[in-house]
Formats: sequence, structure tokens, C-alpha cells
Amino acid sequence: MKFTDFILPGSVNTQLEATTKEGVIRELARSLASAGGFPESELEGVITAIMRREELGTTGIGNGIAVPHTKHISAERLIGAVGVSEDGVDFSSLDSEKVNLFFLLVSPPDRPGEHLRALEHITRHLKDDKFCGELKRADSPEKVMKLLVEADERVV
Amino acid sequence: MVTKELTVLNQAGFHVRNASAVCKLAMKYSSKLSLSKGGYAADCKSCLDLLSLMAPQGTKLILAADGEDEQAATDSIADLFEHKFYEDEFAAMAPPDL
Repeated sequence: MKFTDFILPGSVNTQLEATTKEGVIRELARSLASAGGFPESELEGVITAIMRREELGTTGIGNGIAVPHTKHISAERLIGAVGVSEDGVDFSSLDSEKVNLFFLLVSPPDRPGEHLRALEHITRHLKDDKFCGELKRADSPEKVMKLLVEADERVV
Repeated sequence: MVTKELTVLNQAGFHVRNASAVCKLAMKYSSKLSLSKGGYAADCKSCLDLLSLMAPQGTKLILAADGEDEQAATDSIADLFEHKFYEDEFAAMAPPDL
């Protein structure tokens, strides 16, 4: 699996304005809908599903990274958005650090394998401090996509 | 050093919530703890590392514990795996999720 298999280019936001967990999830889910990931009419349902998932336990996995996600019937395939917050957002992360880098994922209900493969791909690459730092400092969606495409070409 | 083979029994595989549970538990022990698959070893005290294991239902992982509390750490992490990370308790709270 590659980043470009599931990250929708139009859903990358390097200037997140939200300062709360729900705000970030709303902002990124809206980006995903705007990029054609799912119908706008499903937006509130997707946001609610992601928030309910967060109530079961944070997806802030440490190192300034969070992977909010849900299964949702409106997703025809695994889709994802990327968000960068310069100031960071409190996500109740495992290491209590603020989160600067978000990968929001929505997957069809019947394909858990795709979700696990995406997590594997994301986390294996983000263990590279240089790559992770460059993503957190990226100042445009184009820069993020360039970094993701370059990462896809590396074997980790 | 203690090693034990563990199997991912839950249907959704070893996902974020499970990795977080293992990570939180591992942090309580001083021993060095790792889960490995196919020669790839993940530090149990790093959720980022654990999620890179890619372990769907049925995957066998090797837990290695090395340190003063290695047996206690092995027993408690094995308990999580054997009880499907206690997901049934979560299922009662919300619809099935990842």
C-alpha cells in the first residue's frame, strides 16, 4: 500500500485552525468530503462516528501524531486526509504531548485489512524522524504530497 | 529473557486501540519488551512501533521480555491477547469499530 492509494490530494490541510480534538476532526472530515471522499450529506455522520471512536480511547499515538478514524458505509474505499497544526492540539495522547500531525482515515465497514495496512504504512514511515519532522513543518498541501510521494518510493 | 508466542484473536486485528492497550500496560514494567513478526521487532512501549506490525486476525507474534519483571510483564500482555484485548467490554459501549 502507498500513501497515494488512500490520501486524497485535495484533503491535505497544512494550516489547521482548530484548537480542539473535535475541531480538528471536523476540519479534516470536511476536507475529505470536499475532496470527494464521501457525500457532503454524510459529513455529520462521519464526524459523529469518529468522535464515538475517540471516546473509546484516544488515537493520539504519541510523537505528536494522531490517526483519528472510523468505518463508515459512505466510504467506497479507504480514504484519508492529512492535517498539520503548527501550534499543536491536545488530543489526550498516550505521551500527553500535543499533536501536530494528523492522518484521518475512513474505511468501508467490511475491509479491516485495508485499514491495518494503511496504519502499517503510515507508522513505518513516521518512525523516520526526518520524514516525520518534514511533514510537521510542511507549509503547503503540495509540499505534503511531494513528501508522501517520495516516501512511497522508499522501502521501509 | 522470557519469550511467548501470542496470537491475534480478535476479528479486526491488532489495531490502534489494542496497540494503545499494550503500550500502556508495557509502560508499567521496567523490562525491555518487544513484539515481533517475521524478523521485525516492535518496541511495546511505542504505539507507533506496534502499529507498524500489521497483524490481522490469526497473526502469531513473539513477545520477548527482558528485565527484572519480565515474567509479570509477559503474563499481563499475554492476558490481553488471550482475552481479545477485552474488546467485548468496548462492544457493549458502542457499535463495532476499528
